[in-house]
Amino acid sequence: MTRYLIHRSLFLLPMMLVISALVFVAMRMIPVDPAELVVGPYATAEQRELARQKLGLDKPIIAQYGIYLLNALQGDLGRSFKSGKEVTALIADTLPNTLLLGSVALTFAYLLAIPMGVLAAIRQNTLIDQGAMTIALIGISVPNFWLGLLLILTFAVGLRWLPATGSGTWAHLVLPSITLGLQYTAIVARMTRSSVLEVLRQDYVRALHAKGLERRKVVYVHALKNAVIPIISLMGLHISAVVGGSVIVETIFAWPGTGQLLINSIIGRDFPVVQAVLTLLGATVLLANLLADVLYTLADPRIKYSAHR
Amino acid sequence: MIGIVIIVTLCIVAAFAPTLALHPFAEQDLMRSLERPLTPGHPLGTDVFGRDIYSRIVWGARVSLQVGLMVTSVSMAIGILIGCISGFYGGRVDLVLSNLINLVWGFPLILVALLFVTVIGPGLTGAMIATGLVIWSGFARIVRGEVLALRSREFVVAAQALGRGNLWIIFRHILPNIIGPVLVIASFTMAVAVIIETSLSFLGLGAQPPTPSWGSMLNEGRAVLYRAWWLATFPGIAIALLVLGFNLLGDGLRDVLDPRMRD
Amino acid sequence: MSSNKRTGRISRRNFIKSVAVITGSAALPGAALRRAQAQPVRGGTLRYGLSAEPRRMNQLNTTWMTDATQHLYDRLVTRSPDGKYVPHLAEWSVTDDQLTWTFKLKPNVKFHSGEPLTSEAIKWWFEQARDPKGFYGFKGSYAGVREITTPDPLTTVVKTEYPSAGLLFILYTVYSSIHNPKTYDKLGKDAYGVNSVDGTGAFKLKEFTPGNRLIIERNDDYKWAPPFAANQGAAYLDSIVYRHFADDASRTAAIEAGDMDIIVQPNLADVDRLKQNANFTVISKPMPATRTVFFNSEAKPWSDKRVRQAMAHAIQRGPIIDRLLFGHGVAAHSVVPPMFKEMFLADTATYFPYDIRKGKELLAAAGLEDKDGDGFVEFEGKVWEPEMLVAAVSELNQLAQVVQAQAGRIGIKIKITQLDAESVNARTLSGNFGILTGFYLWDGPDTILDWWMHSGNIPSTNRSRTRDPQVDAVIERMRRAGTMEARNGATLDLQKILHGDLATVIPVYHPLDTYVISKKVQGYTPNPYTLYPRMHDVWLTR
Repeated sequence: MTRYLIHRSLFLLPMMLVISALVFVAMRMIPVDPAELVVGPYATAEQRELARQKLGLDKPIIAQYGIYLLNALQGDLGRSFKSGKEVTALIADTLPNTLLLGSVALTFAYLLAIPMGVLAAIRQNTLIDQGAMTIALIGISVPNFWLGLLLILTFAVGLRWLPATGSGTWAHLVLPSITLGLQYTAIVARMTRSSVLEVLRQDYVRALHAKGLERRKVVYVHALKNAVIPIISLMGLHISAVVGGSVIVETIFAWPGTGQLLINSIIGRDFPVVQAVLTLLGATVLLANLLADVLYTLADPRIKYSAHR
Repeated sequence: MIGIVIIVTLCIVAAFAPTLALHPFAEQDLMRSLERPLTPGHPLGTDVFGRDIYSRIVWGARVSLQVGLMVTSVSMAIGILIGCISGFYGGRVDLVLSNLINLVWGFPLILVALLFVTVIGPGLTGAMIATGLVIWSGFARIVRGEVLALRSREFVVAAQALGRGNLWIIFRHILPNIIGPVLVIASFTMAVAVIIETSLSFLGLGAQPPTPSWGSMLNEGRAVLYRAWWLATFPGIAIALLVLGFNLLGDGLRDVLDPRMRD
Repeated sequence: MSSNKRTGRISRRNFIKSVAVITGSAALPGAALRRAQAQPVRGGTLRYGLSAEPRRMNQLNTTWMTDATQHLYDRLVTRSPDGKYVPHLAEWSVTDDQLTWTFKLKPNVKFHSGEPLTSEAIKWWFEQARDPKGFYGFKGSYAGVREITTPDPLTTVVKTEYPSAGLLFILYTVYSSIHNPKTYDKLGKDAYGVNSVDGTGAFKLKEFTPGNRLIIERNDDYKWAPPFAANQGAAYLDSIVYRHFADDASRTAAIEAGDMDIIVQPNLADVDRLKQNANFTVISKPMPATRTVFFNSEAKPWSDKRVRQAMAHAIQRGPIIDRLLFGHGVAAHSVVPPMFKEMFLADTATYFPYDIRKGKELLAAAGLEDKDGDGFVEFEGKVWEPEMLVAAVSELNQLAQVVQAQAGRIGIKIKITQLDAESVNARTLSGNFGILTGFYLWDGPDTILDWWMHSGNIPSTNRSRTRDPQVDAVIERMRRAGTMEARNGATLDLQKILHGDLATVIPVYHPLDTYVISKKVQGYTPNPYTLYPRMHDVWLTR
């Protein structure tokens, strides 16, 4: 296990380099001259050339990437072309909001989904089961951008219970977290149901039953404990998925997070910001994957990892 | 069962779109814009340009299914190839590929798609390439797992002992055995592909006007949500229905083909 | 300066706010004016929904400015509600030959840092503005400045090489805001206007978090309000929080849900409904802006003016205004809006009326005919599919789709490509496009004609790549005009050539400038000659 972990961790650094290099190259492939973005459309050819030199665009791309890395290691990610703010400051401003939204959404999803899944499993093939699973299926199938619109229309504009957009109070969190979390509620509920069912079918649970243990105890203590293992292990994956989902949800609700920062920067071709945020996101995904594996191993001691699977 | 009904119905709608549609999808009649549903000639009303929403939804089914099919078949090919190589050859090849698979699998699809569309430029083709390039990892994971399990099975070992080539073994013994799980994943992939395409079109980066993508219809409906609810309602229902259909189909296939598989 | 006004690109509409003339019938509810009579209360935070993202607040280093710039800085000159240029930071006089300008500063004016405003800051500003190597977008307007001297701490004397009737105009815009040179040099041009500013305005910069909000707070020392302001002391509001909503529908939802106190440019489909709502006041006024279609007049076959004229005949403006804008716009036949009475050529309304038959005839005359009978004309043997670029902004996008359908009526099959603003910009600069939907918002339409049509401005502001010796000659006459009358005459001549013959740009409509204001906002009166809404007299009820 330890050896496996070390091995995986050793992979993190080169993978990060690969991601940042890929993003760097991708950004340079966009048919918009970064110098153009900095000087604006009314600059003379001479000014444009000065900007190119200032940005180091006259150097070969490998040298540019090297300079970028050196600066990045010293904590300098450059300035946004658009607002002129330091990229590090932009990320520091927005990241806490995204983390808040994401964690509330995931907590909401898990708190709702696990009881829902367990209930559906122990009442398998009843109306409760079918109802819960239908809701879950709809939750997976409704695109979040549509769900967001419907929620704003109903609860913010129609009933005026909750604010439509912005941030600051807990009330602002409600609609975006539901929009972001519902999909995961649905996924987790379905997964909980099937893993509880699987555990219930297993021989040792039947044996416990046969031993005369109360059904309730069997379900809650033994079955649930074992069923939750794969669910928890997927949490790591959901973390990175939530980051992706937040891009659209933050845009709809004007939530000042990193997701909105990213999409605005992609649309505005604000390369320094896109570069930094995507690299950061890559790191999050790698760590989340690692976390998922570790949790999985810890939760299920039957799984043994070798360095080379 | 319901899944099959939904999918078959939508496939029929897509196939016979020219017959079923009442108007050409791009036909504008500005002076008849925002007509309510059930207006004569416009069962689901008209949009801002006076285009018939029913006809656009019918044509939109074709767009969504085409995108879904293209993306799924391309990503299936990539996924099976990488999954097979990774699972079958193992060792260092597997170490590199499985890390790649995990990375791509874990990376939020919509972000990668967005980045690709930014580089290639907006449009359905761009959206399809972008989606296909990121969605294959679902296939690769499953295939790799299955191949890993199959590789040590008696018939494969026996075939190797007989000196059969790797390719022969893959085609003869491995592929036929993974068709079940691959079909299940394909169905879920269709659902995800439809969501990604509609999301990109919703953001204006997918289908270009006047192509009737449900995502761009939804986006157009957003501006007149309060004045004309039907613009954003019907395409939304259509997307949800199609995605639901593929999810149900996937569930059904899994129950039939591979009861062991879980989400 | 800005992309939008000069280039006809897009939509960041509040980049420069209008000097609009409120026509008699325009919806300026008397109630808003009457309420302003009540006793103002100090305090409170105004929440303001913007349609354009705030950027650097330093005109020397940006291509656009945000509403807050109006309040952070003052200018030497301002414009009163009746449109006259009046002194703000300085009284001015000009010699009879129009070559020597003297600016006398108000005494005891202080920057936010506490330092006094002196003529050194004014000299510094003129030097920055005219610097031929500078990035400043309006350096052309200052190009005639030859010599700047400061005889005493409150006096600045500016000598120009030739008379320039346009100087007062540029001095009044936010693009001539006055800064403290010491703070500017200390911070450097990259950080100034982002992390901090040092102006003399009624509000100070408190917080700027791009993508989230911009907060400005009252300058308690402010005693130099423009002469026409009711409130001559510090502002009533404690602070203003600006938030940006890219999407009209979200911005509208935000004020309806009570998250905002005032928004600019609501979703047009909702304006009538908002007018019925007792919680809001809706104010619309003409906007010095025009939505247009541009052709790349160097790309074949658009290079044949008959093809462009054919398109001009295909545009049907009535349904666009009725249905796309829900009536919130005015048909445009000239790039110059009719509100600029002395500059507007009324004859333009009769040029190239909607006429499908004539459009087809012109195309046929240019050799573009539908020979294969598919309803679309062919060019060089195959169906002609000119590409139309459109920035991903819903209003321009809708216009593009209608133009696409209307062009189809005369047999032109347009292909639309939606891009982000920056990519549209890059593509038009390189000349790789056929048609473009565009927009300007700027209170000097005469300047727009210069930027859009002089061959010397290809490609950056003359996006249609109009290249016509006659046009160039008229524009040069306009540039050197010593009086507004002479300048206006040139403007009229230009409209005749552009809209009556060349048709490299087709005007489609003039939008309206619309604000939705919560009833708790008091004292807000739309001053037609204000770049951005003035918030000096505004207060909030408890």
